Amino acid sequence: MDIQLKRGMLDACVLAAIQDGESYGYQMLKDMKPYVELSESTLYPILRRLEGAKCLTVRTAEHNGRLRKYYAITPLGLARLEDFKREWKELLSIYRFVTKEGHE
Amino acid sequence: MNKESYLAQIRQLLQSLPEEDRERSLAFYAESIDDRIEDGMSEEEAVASMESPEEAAKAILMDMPIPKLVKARVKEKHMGALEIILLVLGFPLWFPLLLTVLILGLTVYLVVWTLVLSLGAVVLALGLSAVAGVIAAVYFIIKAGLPLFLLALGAALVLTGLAILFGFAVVGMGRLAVMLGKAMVRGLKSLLIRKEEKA
Repeated sequence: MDIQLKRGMLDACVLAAIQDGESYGYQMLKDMKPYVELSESTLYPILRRLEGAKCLTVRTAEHNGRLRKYYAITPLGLARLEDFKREWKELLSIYRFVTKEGHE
Repeated sequence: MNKESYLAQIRQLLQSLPEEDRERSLAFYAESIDDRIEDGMSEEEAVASMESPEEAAKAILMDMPIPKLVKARVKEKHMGALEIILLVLGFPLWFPLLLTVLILGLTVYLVVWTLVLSLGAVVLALGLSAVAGVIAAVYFIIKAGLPLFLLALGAALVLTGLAILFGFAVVGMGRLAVMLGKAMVRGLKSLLIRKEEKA
């Protein structure tokens, strides 16, 4: 698949994994697993990039005597997610036309 | 493999990175292993379900900015006397070559952006002319009558259409230029990392 396209889709997956509330790395991977299987090495750069783009914020909190990082979506991140959904709606309608049977 | 030796292997591969970057990346992997264990896996299972230390290290390196990779690369090289002599003697040869390649890459990138910029100037010119056409049309209907008014109005419409058309071209070219830039950065990085593995 086109690398740029896939990258955009994975960004959206990660944002979607925290759109209903903050989460942490392993939980996000588990939530995405039924749909798309990511590894730490894929997730980590995406999280850093999205943090740099101010699409999410990170906080460190203690959990069972160790530190864990929690990621929360920002308004900018939510806007990015909405853009993604709108773009794909258009693409899907093109896809439906391309795969339609019997058009002239 | 247990957690400690897994992390130690990544640490070893990232030796030449600044400590802060290295430890921050490692903390992410350590957290994920701990979370797997908490989720019911044994330590061995948790580590086995992660990717290899080599893959992890490569992903971390690819995510570093180019200057840090260059610095790491210089730091990692341990050169013998012969290598240093060759490097110094060969300087008149390799330095201009390296410079040429870098400047060539930069030039290609700049040329693409120049194209975007000049197309942008065309759009601006067309847009301004369209506005001028509308103003002329208003002037003509007061002073000169219908035929000239229609002429000016028609010209303004054509110019607006052209401006919109060229506008799409600018946006498309701009996207291409950004993609090209990203591809070039990725290429340079993997070049730096591959050499690092060999060293």
